[in-house]
Amino acid sequence: MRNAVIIALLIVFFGLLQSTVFADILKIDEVKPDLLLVVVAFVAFKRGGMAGQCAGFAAGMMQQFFSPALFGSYAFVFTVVGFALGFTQHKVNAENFVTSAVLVFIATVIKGIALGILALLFAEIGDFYGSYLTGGLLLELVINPVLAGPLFWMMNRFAAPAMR
Amino acid sequence: MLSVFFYKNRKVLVFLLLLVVSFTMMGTSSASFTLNLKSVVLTIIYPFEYVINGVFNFFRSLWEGLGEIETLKKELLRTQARLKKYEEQDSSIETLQRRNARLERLLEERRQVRYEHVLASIVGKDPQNYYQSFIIDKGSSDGIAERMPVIAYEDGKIGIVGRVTMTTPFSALVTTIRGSRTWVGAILEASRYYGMVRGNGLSAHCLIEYIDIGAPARDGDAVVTSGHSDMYPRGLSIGTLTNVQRDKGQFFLRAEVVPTINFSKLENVYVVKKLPSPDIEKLEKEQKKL
Repeated sequence: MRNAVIIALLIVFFGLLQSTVFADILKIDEVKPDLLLVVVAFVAFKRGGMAGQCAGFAAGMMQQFFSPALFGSYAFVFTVVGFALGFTQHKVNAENFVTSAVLVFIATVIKGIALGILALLFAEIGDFYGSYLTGGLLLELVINPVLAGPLFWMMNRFAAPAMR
Repeated sequence: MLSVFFYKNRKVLVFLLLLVVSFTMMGTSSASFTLNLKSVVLTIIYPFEYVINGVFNFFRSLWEGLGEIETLKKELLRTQARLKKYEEQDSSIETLQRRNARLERLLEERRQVRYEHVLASIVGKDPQNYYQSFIIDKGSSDGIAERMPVIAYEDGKIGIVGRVTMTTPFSALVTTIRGSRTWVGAILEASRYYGMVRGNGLSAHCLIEYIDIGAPARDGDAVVTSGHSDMYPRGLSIGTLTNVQRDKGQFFLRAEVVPTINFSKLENVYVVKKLPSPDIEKLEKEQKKL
């Protein structure tokens, strides 16, 4: 229960940062980093696939309320990311910046693949997916891993000790 | 036996359950209960967004203010070196003039917006990188309703931003013309050929469709709203044409539109208090049924 509350607080906090003008200061060429993806990767890595996929679903739902995108699409994408990243639990040491960057790079690739699957199934996601794949995703593959180190460090420092 | 199976495979089962829930939501995304749920959550979240935005803007203006003070200092030192007689000049005059000029510009903007409108600030943006929507700090309590057009002022031009797609008492969701589901009736300002503008996903450019292949369209031609759907007032700037292509055997030419408004820099918008006439809405609905 305590873990769930901490994870929920992380999602709400980073979700609000992501949806306000704050995230704009971090953007490069109109692409801003996906802070919630980093949070989901962190939770999946620390707490495993079960916590990761639940956090992913919650993070996706959080984003859904700010966006006109197909309802449930973010939930799907982030659930898949949380589930997949859960397999890294106890397998690597993400205390250093390089490992956390690699983890978030993989998470971003999985996000791209999950969006690709949705693009095949739903026309309105397919409409923007082509340009996302060649533009936004490539930049996210750089920005997200760069931010992973500091964010993992912050969450390790402040959130992880409170988790059981 | 079954319970052991469920326990052993609980992670995969929960994963599958979450995927099923996601797909169900996608399948029923147009149902009204989803929109109502969104409205409730937005109403709860709005104060937090407002506060975060306020705190961030406070620090940003503080930072900008510090930078401005630094610039003024340097300017003053240069002036002192060149002309001693200006030593006692009050540097704050310049700040006041700048502020005055900014206020005059805002006043001029408001005068140029001919329609009855509400000035609103952007407090929340699409969390992903699609720039398809944002949240403004005015809602139904300020007279804003769904389907009202939203415009903005940039570089001396009034440009179309999008339309209101959801309202709560104190905030509203605006879907921009970059949204892939948004269609805007358009006309080439010079040649008067009609077309339809729609979003092009992550691309900063929109697409214009259904322009006759024989239209004398060139890169740089202005595109404005046609006013045909009665959704947007006629003659508002949408953008300029680029990448005009004419493929053999096609009825329509292909082109992109560079929006007049730069969505990534947008801070304030005007919501035009105008709704499509009920008769036209009724006709459009009947047409959709056909």
